[in-house]
Amino acid sequence: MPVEKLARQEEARAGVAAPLQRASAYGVWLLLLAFVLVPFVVPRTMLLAQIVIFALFAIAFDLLFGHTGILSFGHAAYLGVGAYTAALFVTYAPVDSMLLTLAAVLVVSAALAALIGFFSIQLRGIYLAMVTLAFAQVLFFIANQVETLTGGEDGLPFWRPALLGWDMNDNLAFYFFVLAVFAVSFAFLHRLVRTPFGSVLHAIRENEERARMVGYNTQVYKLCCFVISGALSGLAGGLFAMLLRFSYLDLLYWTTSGDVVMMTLIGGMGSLFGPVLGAAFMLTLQDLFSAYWDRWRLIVGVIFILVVLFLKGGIWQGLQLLAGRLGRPQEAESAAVAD
Amino acid sequence: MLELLVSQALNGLVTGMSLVLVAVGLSIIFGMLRIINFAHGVFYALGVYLAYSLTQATGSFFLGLVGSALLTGLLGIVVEAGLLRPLYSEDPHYHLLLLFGLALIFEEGIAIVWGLEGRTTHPPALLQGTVDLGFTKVALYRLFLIAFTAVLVLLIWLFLRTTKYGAILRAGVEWPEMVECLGINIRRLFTAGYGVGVALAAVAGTLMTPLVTIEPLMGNSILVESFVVVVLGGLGNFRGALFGGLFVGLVMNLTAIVSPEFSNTVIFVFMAAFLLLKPEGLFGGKGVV
Repeated sequence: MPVEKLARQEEARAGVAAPLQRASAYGVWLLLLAFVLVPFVVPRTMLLAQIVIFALFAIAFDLLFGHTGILSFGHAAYLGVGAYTAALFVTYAPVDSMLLTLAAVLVVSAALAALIGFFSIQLRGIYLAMVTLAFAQVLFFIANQVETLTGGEDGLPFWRPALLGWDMNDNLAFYFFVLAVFAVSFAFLHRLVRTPFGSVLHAIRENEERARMVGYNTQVYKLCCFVISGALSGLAGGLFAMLLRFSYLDLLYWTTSGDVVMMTLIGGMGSLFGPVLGAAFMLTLQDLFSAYWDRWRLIVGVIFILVVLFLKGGIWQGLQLLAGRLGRPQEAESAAVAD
Repeated sequence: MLELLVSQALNGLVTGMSLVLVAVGLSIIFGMLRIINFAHGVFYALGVYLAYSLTQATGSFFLGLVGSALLTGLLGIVVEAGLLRPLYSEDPHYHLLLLFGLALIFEEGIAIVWGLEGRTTHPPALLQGTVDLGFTKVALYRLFLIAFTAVLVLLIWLFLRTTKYGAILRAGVEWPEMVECLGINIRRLFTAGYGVGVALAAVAGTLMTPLVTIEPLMGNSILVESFVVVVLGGLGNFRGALFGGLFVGLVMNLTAIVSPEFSNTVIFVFMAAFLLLKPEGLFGGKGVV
């Protein structure tokens, strides 16, 4: 298992990449501070909010893949359904409340994840990836057909509800709300993977048979993991739709599932920081190129393949290697050889 | 009503046989390399575009069909030898991820070379017109497609079942190390297998072109449908691909009589049912042929 190997490498590197390790102890706070300050330096709140939202999507995906070893190729389902739930709730519910909208989004996407997860965990590994992709496509087909509800190919425009009576139409204000939701979710996941529950997830990733033989009902753990991951992905979808004031079909399409896979892998899976880096990297790339060249995804595809072939820990691993090399050149060399 | 039923059943056979070819390719690749070819859909689309351009250049549908199968197969061989081989020692997830990245690159490549607008083609002059079956009329091309794919599938089956190379292949799937010990270069055979698998996808796509609109994303829905086929039939099994392909084709087209909107959703209900009741598929774990 390369995931296992990665974990071991990470432990082995702990001494090597001391500067970065020390930084990562305060990393959460540094990251938060950076995200708070950056809109005052780079006045691109729409882009920044999008990065934070997709970072949330990516860390939710990474709980399944990086931490539990389950590769879902259908995470667009939760993002898309979260977005449509937000749009429909805002349009039809008699209250104008952002928190209630997000609560509805959480409930619906968690229920969906429970349903899809229940069927999917009957299979494992690459079979599971195949089946999750198929389920997500079903939702895409359905959303395309029930035009009265979803608007079909036209999408579903709506408005941003108020947060506890505050108007949220200012993008900077909404950015800080998104950041708060992200921070809470990040802290939750950061904590979760360090609980006994998280250890069981890691045990499933390393060797599911062994985890079951020790006496854990791994199916229940995997289903819980699916539900948490799906609910947080739905939350990201709800926030994204509210950012755009629009929910549309592409969010359910399998390229969205592919995007989150690529963000997580390019950033570095299983590390929580990696997916955040990956989301920032990919969306910045999109921002830089998409205006000039429709086929900018070609670049992402090439980078993604290079990561899969040569740098399986993604940007995060690259940074660690770099920090190690700067810190103690000799040991970093040997660590690089050991790869 | 009967006429509608018969004509939809025939359409089901057409879609079904095309899906059988796609799924047989997917199954050959899975059987040998133990990977699910996420790039299968994009090889299908690439085959379609190559055939389209070759047909335009040569004026012959059949030259286009053969040429696109050969070119796609060749590209498959390059992909397997150049990109997939270094990953065989790694977790199987990485093959999937690599193939996904590759699919993305090819999809963008197709859009760059051929553009995004949809295109339509006609069947070759020889196969235009209809045949009167007595109770209903059928387009000749549809009958040709069913017969052609049936013969092709039969030939593949005979190849696997009766020839020396077929025997080596089947043995290689069961126990690759043993076959290597007998002095056979099984790696090279597996590379060829990947080429044949994607070439079949190209053939399936090319055969469907006179009946559908050609566009860069056309492989995606085929990929997902072929996933349903292999879940129903059992992955890596020839009979499974045959049964699953025909079943999915018929179910989709017969559902379309009652509810055209949900014709491509209903197959996933069957998939969910199979996952619960028979996750290994109908013919799963029963060898290749």
